[in-house]
Amino acid sequence: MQNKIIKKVIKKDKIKNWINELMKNYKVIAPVKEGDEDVFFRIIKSADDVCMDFQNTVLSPKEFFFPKSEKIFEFEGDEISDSGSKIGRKRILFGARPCDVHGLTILDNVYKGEFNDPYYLQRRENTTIISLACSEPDENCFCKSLGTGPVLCDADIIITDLGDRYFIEAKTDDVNLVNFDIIKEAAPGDVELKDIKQKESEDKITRAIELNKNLDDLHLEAESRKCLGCGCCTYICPTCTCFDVSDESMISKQKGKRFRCWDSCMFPSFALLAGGENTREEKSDRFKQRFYHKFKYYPEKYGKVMCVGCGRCTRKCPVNTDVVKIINYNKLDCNY
Amino acid sequence: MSDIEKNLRAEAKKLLEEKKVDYVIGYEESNGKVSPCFIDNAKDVEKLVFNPGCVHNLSVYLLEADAENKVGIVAKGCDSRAIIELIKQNQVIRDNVFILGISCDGVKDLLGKDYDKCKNCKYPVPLIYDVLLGEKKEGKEEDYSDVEEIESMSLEERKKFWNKQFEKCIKCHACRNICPLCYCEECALDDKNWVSKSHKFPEIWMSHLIRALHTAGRCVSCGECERACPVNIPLRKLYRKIGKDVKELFDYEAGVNAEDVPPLVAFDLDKDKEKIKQN
Ligand code: SF4
Ligand code: SF4
Ligand code: SF4
Ligand code: SF4
Ligand code: SF4
Repeated sequence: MQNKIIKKVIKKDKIKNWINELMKNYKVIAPVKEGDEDVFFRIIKSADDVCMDFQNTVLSPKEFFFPKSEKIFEFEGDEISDSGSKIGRKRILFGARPCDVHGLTILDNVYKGEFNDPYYLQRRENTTIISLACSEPDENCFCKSLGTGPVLCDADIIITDLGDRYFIEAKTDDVNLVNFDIIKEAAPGDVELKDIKQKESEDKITRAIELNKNLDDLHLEAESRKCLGCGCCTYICPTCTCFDVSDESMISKQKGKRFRCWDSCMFPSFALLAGGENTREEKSDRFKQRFYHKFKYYPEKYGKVMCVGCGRCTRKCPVNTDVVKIINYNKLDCNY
Repeated sequence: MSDIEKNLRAEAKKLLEEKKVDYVIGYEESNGKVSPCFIDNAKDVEKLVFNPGCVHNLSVYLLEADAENKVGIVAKGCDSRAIIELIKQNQVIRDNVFILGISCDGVKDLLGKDYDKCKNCKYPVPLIYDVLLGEKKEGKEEDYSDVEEIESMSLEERKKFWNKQFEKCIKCHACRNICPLCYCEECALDDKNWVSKSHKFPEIWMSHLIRALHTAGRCVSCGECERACPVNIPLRKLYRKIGKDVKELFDYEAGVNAEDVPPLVAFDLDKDKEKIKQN
C-alpha cells in the first residue's frame, strides 16, 4: 500500500501526554538533558524527562541500533549459550534529528543486503522513528549541502516546531501513533506555517561541503599533524560502522563471553595484522583512511558519501579538525 | 594584535631563522577557532596567535618529536608543568626544547566561559621557560573545594555519581591521547588482558580507575582530558583527588619543581608504610 501522509498538529503542552500514550505500548528512547547543557538519548522512564529544546544530542542515536558493546554469546567448554542480545518490546525513537535518521540509512547499507547483521536489523525493524525537524541548526551543521536535513528524512513521523504547537506528518502505516484526542487535524494555515518554518531553518545553515572532490588533491598529510589519534570523531559519528570482536574469559574455567564493541580506524591497533605488520602504520595513514572511507570508498560502493553533515566531529575534535575545511580545501588557494 | 602575540612571532621568527629549532609548536586561528599548529618556516610565523582561545596543552606534541629534533613550544603556566614533568620522567630532553613561556591571563571556552582550571590557577607564570612573554603575575591559592565536595559524599552517593559519569564513556581515549603525561607506548587500557574492551559495568570502572591511578604523581591538572572528553565526564576532578592525596601523603606536586623526586621513585616501603595506613 502506498503511504499517504497524514497531517496533524499537537499543542506543545500536550507533548508529554502524547509520549505517555506511546509509552503504554512501546519502549521510548528520547532526548534527556543531563548536567547543564548536554542532551543524550535515553530509554525514558517518565515523559517528564524528555527535553525538546536542544540543538542536537551529544551522541547520535546510533548506539541504540549498534551498541557501544553487546554480547554475542556465552561459552563454557564447547557449549555455546545465550546467543544474541534480545530486544523485547517494540521501540520508538523519539526526537531524532533528520541528519541522524539519515545516519541510520547509511548504516543500513553496510548492515543489510550483502551481509545481514541480525543484531542490528532486529533493532532497526523493531523501532519506529519520530524525527524532530531542526529549527535552530548550529554553526557546524552542513546537512543542507548533503540533502540530509534540516527537515526531511526517512522517519516514520516528522514533527516540526510551529511556535506554540508542533506539526506532525505521519505515514498512514503509523496512524495508530497519532490517533489520540490531543492530536488534531492540521488546518491549511498550519501547513503554510510549517513550510515557512522549514524554510527559515534551512536558511540558518551557513556551512556547505563540496561534493565530488578529488581527495588526492587535499591537504590530508598536513592536517593530520595535529591529530591525536583518539577515536572521538569516529565514535560520535552517526555513520561510522566499525566494530571489533573480543572475549572476556576465565581461562582456568574455559568460560566466558564474546562480545562486539565499537572500533575506530584512528587507532593504531585497527590495521594491525597477526604477525605484527601494520598496514596503516603512520598517524597520517589512519587520518587519511577516515576521509577516504567517507568521501571515496563508501560513495563508490553505495552512491552517496558516508557523512550526514551533523557537524559532531568538528564540534568535538579536541584539536579542531574540521571536516568541511578539509574537504573544501582548494590547492589553488595557496594561503594554506 | 597584543604585545604578547607580536613578541611571540618575533621570537619564533628568530628561532627559525637562526636554525635554533626545527619547528615551533604554537597556536593558529582557523574558522574562528584556535588550533594547535606547527611552524616550519620563518615566513609562516604570522600565523601564530595568542588569545583566550589558546587552551590546548601543546606539550603532548613533544612526545612525537624525534630525539634529534629541536623544537620551539608555546607554553602557558599549566602547560609548563607538563614539560617539567616530562623532562623529569626522561620523555623530553631539556636542551631539545626552547620554551616560549607566556604569562597567562586564563583561557575561555567557545561560549566565553572561563575554564575551571583557570578559576583556581596557582601557576599562571610558566615554571620553566627560555623566554617569558607578558608581565609576571600572582597565582591563586590552592583550592580543592571541587574535590572536597565529592569527598563529602557517602560511599553510595559517590558510587552513584561516578557510575552515571562512566556510563557515558564511549572509550574514545581522547582523554588519554591528549594527556601529555600519558606517554606509555603500550597502554594498559589497550591490552585486553588488563582491561576488557566492553563498555559495561564493572569493566568500565576498571579503565577509569586504572587511568586515574596512573596519573598519580604525573597529572599536572592541565584539564585537557576533561576538555577533550566528548561526553563531558568531569575527569579533572577525579585526577585532582589523586593529586590531592599524593600531595598530602608525599608532599609532591607534579611539574612544579624540577628537583623534587617523583613519589613512585622516592617511595620507601618501610618509611612510608605508616603514612599510607593512617589514610
Ligand atoms: S577527534 Fe580529532 S584528534 Fe581525535 S582522532 Fe579525530 S581528528 Fe584526530
Ligand atoms: S563525518 Fe562528522 S559531520 Fe559527517 S556525519 Fe560523521 S560526525 Fe557528522
Ligand atoms: S546537521 Fe542539519 S539535521 Fe543535523 S542537527 Fe544540524 S541542522 Fe539539524
Ligand atoms: S590527566 Fe588530564 S589534567 Fe592531568 S595531565 Fe593528563 S590531561 Fe592534564
Ligand atoms: S574522553 Fe571521555 S568518553 Fe572518551 S574515553 Fe575518555 S572518558 Fe571516555
